[in-house]
Amino acid sequence: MSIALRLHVPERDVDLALDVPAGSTLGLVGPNGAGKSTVLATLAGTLRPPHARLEVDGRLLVDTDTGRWTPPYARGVGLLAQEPLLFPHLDVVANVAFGPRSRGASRREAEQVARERLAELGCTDLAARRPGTLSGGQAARVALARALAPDPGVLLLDEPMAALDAAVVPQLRTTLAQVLRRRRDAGRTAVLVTHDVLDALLLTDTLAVVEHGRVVDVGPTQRVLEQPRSAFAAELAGLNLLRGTSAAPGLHTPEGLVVHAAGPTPLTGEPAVAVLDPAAVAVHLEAPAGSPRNVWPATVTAVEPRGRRALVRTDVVSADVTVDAVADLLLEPGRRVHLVVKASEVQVHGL
Amino acid sequence: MSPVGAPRAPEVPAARRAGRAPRTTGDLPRWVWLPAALGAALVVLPVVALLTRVDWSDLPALLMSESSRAALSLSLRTAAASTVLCVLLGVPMAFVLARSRFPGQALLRALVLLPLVLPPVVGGIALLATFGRRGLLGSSLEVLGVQVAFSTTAVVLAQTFVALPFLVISLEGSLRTAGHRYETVAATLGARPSTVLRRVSLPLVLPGLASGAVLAFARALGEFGATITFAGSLQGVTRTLPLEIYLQRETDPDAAVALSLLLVVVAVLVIVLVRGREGRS
Amino acid sequence: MKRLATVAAAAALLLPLAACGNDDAVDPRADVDSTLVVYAAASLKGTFTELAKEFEATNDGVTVQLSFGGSSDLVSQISEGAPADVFASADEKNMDTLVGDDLVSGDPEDFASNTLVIVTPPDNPGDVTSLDDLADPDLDVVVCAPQVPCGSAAQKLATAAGVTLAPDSEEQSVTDVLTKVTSGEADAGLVYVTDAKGAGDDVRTVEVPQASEVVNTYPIAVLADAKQPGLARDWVELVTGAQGQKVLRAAGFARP
Repeated sequence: MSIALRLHVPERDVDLALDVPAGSTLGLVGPNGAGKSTVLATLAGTLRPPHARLEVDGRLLVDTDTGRWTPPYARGVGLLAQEPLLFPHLDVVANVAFGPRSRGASRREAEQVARERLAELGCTDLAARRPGTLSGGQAARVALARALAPDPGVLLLDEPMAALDAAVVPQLRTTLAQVLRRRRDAGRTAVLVTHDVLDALLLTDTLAVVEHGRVVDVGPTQRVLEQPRSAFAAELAGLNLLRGTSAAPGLHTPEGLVVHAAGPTPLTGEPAVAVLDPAAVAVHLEAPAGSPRNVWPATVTAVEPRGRRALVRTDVVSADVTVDAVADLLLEPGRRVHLVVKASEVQVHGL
Repeated sequence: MSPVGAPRAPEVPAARRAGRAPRTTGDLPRWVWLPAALGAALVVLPVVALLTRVDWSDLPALLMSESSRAALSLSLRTAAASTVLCVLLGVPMAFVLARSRFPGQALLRALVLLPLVLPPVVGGIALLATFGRRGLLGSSLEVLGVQVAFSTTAVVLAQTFVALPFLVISLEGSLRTAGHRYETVAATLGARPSTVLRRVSLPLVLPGLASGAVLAFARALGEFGATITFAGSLQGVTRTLPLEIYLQRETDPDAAVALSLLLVVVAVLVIVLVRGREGRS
Repeated sequence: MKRLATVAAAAALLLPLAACGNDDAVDPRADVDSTLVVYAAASLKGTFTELAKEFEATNDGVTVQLSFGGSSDLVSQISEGAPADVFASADEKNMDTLVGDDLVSGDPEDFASNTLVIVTPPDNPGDVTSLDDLADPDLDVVVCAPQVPCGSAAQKLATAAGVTLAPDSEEQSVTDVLTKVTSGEADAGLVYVTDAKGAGDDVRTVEVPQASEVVNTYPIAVLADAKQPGLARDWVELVTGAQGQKVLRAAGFARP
């Protein structure tokens, strides 16, 4: 089920377009308030935007120009929210059977589908339980089974693991990956909103970065994370990102920094970003001798210990160093340092 | 470290302390207790005083007299009918008020709650102006051969008029508390609005609906002013328990007290029922 | 919201009982020194209000405070200690209650009488011409409940005329009966002559031949606990005297 969405909501400053090919999972990442929820609500039909056009699998569901509007129940778009929201007055089987039953299946058929979904997710023994007696992880699985039971052509996942105990997340993520793979083979589509780089890497094929209501980057997940063109994706991937204009020998930033890069560079004069791994940034107190290409004076703004290493944030880029180095160099906010990066560690991408 | 003479918290074992709700009465200035006690006395004392007037030996006879039984039976039947009517009309009203938005909604809500603050006798006059023989709808009803005034129907209408807001505000509150997220989920699962209402929304607010219905029943049972103004007073047809009490005062104060006691008992039962359920939820 | 509803419900349960209180009760503490407090049956409202003005005009510095209500309501208030100086009842039964409780000073005097009459809306939609029509179950007939004076009078009248009334409502007071007729809700009602006269063109009056056999007598008495026994006596004299009788007669009351 392919998705083609054009969305314009002036009062929320959202103006974007998204296309998801059939049988793929699109990840949506971006800061809070960037417009991800608006996209999901528009797809689910819980929001009626002023300007929108939505096609799913070639079927025109919404077109505000002609007044066409398909209510949520007739879309074949399922939703799994952050909270499981299991109906408290129904037991687990009845919860999962709710979808098929609402779409006209007989009680027996619906219950059979429900038991199959529960079995697939390893929840057979929960069938007769009331939602109030389930743990967070169990409830999340049942909610997933319920969302899958009507076999929606499009499944929307709104941070489905954000509210869960860290201990149960990996297992559920694995389950979700299996489920999405199975659905992908059947041509089903999914849209996942997440803040977690692992979710993005393991569950999505395509990643769209939404900032200020615009899609600032979209592409294969791997590419978006490794060659980020947005600060958000870079931060998500743990990479440094410098914005500027492409020019020999690589990139010139508006602050006057000249970045030396290796490999192919985009056309001179075009907006571009330079991406570099914090682990490739060395920290010195004095400008080193010799001729490394990139030597940038900087001021430490924060030091974040991460086990035996630490992320040293500066006003230019961040550096990943050992805790010993932090102690030796007396790195603390306000300290003046020189950051050194080999040109071969820097990639420049056009925007 | 505490200065000498400062009051010290009593030593309570941690386990015991944990098992109890924290006490906050110590934070209240003591003088608050006096007006609070006076207020409680104002409510409780008259009920106690009523009990002292009860002629206990004649109580069964007073309660079982023909007019008392007719009034009680009529009251129970009309209050039950009004409650059913309140549910049939009030549930959709609560849903419209809680789940939709339209111009003039705030005004409509205020108007619907009007009978709560209106003197019942005003309600009775308003009902007469509507359903009376020369009322807004009454003349059309008359043509159809339906006469509302002086009938048991009028009693049910009067009771529904005053009791409806109780059900509506109780249920609307429950609906707002429940939120519409479950309804959204149900819709994305393919449930049409009617299915969502029947299988999700209503079951979720069933406790609120139940307490609203109990309140409406109690209010209908106690209805006096609108009934006597609008429906009249005839044994077995329109003379409900409160009207019977008012009339009995003229000739048989003991019977009036006995019937008042009956209403107090019903009222207490209703409050226990509603509060007990609230306590658990 | 739920809590509010509960409170409101509790209040509502008490409301009807509270509503049974008397609307016309006066503040008994207001300036007792030169104030005469008169408790009188509701049907005396017009005449006594007029007489009070004259009384105040002839007695300098005296204020007459009038409290009108159902006779039985007033009796129970006086029994509970309401500070009244004079009581005028619409029937002898209620006055007898006070006499029996030693709450009256001296003997009550009868000062007026009243008889029943049929009233219909001005257009007389039920075509009512005699008491017999009030036995017609198809007509909307309203009378007082037998428990109140005008109701017992109505029953006596029906018995005297050999008619079995078919009322659609037995009201608490004669005013309620009159309202039901003037508003057009009822086809006919039985009220006192004075009420019919007071309603003017709002009702059509149908005389009942047997009415003279059922006469309601109005007694008046100074109360034992009167704070102004002298003024109270003067008031009784005014009501029973020529001046008072003239006003009462004009309102439709007959001699006792």
